[in-house]
Amino acid sequence: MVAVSFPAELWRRVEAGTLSPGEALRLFRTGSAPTAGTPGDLSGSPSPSRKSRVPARTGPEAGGEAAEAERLRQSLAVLAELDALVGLEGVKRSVREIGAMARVQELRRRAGLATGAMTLHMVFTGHPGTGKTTVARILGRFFQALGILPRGHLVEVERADLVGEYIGHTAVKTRETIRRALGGVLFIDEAYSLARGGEKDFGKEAIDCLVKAAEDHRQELLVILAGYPAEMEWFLVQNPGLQSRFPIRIHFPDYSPAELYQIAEQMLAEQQYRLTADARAYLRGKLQGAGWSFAGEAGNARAVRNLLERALRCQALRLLDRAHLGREDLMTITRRDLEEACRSW
Amino acid sequence: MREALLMGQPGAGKSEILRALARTARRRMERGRAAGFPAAGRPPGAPGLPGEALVLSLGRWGRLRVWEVPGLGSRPLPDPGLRWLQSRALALAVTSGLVLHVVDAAAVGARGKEALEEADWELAAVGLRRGDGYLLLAAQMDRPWAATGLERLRRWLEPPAVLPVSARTGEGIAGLLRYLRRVRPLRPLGSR
Ligand SMILES: Nc1nc2c(ncn2[C@@H]2O[C@H](COP(=O)(O)OP(=O)(O)OP(=O)(O)O)[C@@H](O)[C@H]2O)c(=O)[nH]1
Ligand SMILES: Nc1ncnc2c1ncn2[C@@H]1O[C@H](COP(=O)(O)OP(=O)(O)O)[C@@H](O)[C@H]1O
Ligand SMILES: [Mg+2]
Ligand SMILES: [Mg+2]
Repeated sequence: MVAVSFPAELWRRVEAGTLSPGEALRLFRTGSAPTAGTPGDLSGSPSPSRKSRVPARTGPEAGGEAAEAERLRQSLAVLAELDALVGLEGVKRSVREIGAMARVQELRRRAGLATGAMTLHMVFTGHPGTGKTTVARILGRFFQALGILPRGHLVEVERADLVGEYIGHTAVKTRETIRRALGGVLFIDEAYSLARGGEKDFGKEAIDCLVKAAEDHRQELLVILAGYPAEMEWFLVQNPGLQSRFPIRIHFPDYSPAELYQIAEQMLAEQQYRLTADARAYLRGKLQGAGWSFAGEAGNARAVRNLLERALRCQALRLLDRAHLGREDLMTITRRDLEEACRSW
Repeated sequence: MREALLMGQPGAGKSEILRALARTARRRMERGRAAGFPAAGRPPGAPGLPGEALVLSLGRWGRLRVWEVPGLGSRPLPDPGLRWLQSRALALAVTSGLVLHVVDAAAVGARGKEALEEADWELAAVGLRRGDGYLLLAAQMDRPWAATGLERLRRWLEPPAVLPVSARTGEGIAGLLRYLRRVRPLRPLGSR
């Protein structure tokens, strides 16, 4: 019976209303015919969640108060996303303050009140993996929700995206990059490398071009210069013109071992994995252990992500020769997986 | 005629994408017989059927009919006409139809896996096998959390191809249109 009617029987059951579309597709994938009279049988389904969605949306609204309320709702939603990041208390406070100030300025401007010229370009300092890019991306969407940036997207670039190889090339490249970023955030990673080559280097030309764009497009572009703290200090001293044009400084400190541990738990939970008690203790120890520092230049949260990704691969290998794997097995990361992952560091 | 099916949960944004596509293509939606819709089988008499489609010309490759499949939710829809359309779409989705899987990226960013239905996971699994016959549309990209949602969709559903779109801002719509115009028949013309 199965052979003859499969999968037509599945589609017929959808039409009859005794099978949901998702169930029909699952049965098609697993190659099983529906059991008569038990359309609700979901045993063995791999889908992690079948909770029905809660419709919580607002329609498109035109101008006025409704639009302002929607903006507020959106910006609060973005702030919630910021708050979900582990640690970074000082950064969160700064972002909130800048957003609040910019919003009032924008509303004052629209109400025809006097506004001080507000320059929002920023310098982010911090070691790799401390969340600079992540926060910049959220910031773009925050400013978009507040009505300060039209698009709020993030364009992340480095020296090679700006600096050309011959005379005239740099201006073209830089302008093209700026054009892509208009309406959103231009995030320049390791910005100090633009000043690496001294006076004759084309990097100088890129800086001039950026400074000009940062001024010309103040209403529709947010430029963030990012990099290691010491190098950025040096960079700003070398280029005094930058200091006044990039007045906002936000420092991203290294994460504490406890924060790194929390970040690890968050990353695993997001991907539906969990640690055994033994593995937890091991990871805590590793994150605190002397001679094994995740802080500083070792990559902070990024190093944690990399370690976990290796652990997931080690788990997969460990399970390779096992025939019957339950949900539990598939979700569990053991101490051994982590040890293996650290060894292949 | 090849079929492109906008499939996804109720409220994912299918209708808005179809409207935006028609606007960008500067084409009116075809109705009833002109749309060749429904293509076969008994006519769904129930009111509220989409009953309209965007028909694109693929030059010497014939035509492509883009239409919206009634929302794939966690339970069967009460309307028999809509269920009939769904069942036809499912049969096409695993064979010759081009699956345009629409997921509200903002919802996934905000609510995580709870925002995905079984149908979403299963459609993505179909996508893994269909390859070229499947495209994930990360929709409503203009809303907060959507970027997070997009990143999660890439990781969780591992789609062979994904296009971020927003019917509101038009992001990705022209790209989608270009993609659709390049669609080639899977089988020689005239085999259907
Ligand atoms: N901000 C924003 N809202 C959108 C976008 N696309 C759709 N929406 C909103 O999301 C809601 C649902 O969109 P529809 O296109 O009707 O959803 P659908 O997938 O056709 O839903 P069903 O027909 O019920 O299956 C509407 O309120 C739209 O205004 C978008 O790109 N941006
Ligand atoms: N506070 C945090 N909470 C959770 N995850 C974080 C946090 N900070 C960084 N991460 C994660 O660590 C990784 C590296 O972060 P990123 O923003 O790229 O760092 P940077 O730009 O400073 O090098 C990303 O995968 C990010 O999601
Ligand atoms: Mg970065
Ligand atoms: Mg619709």
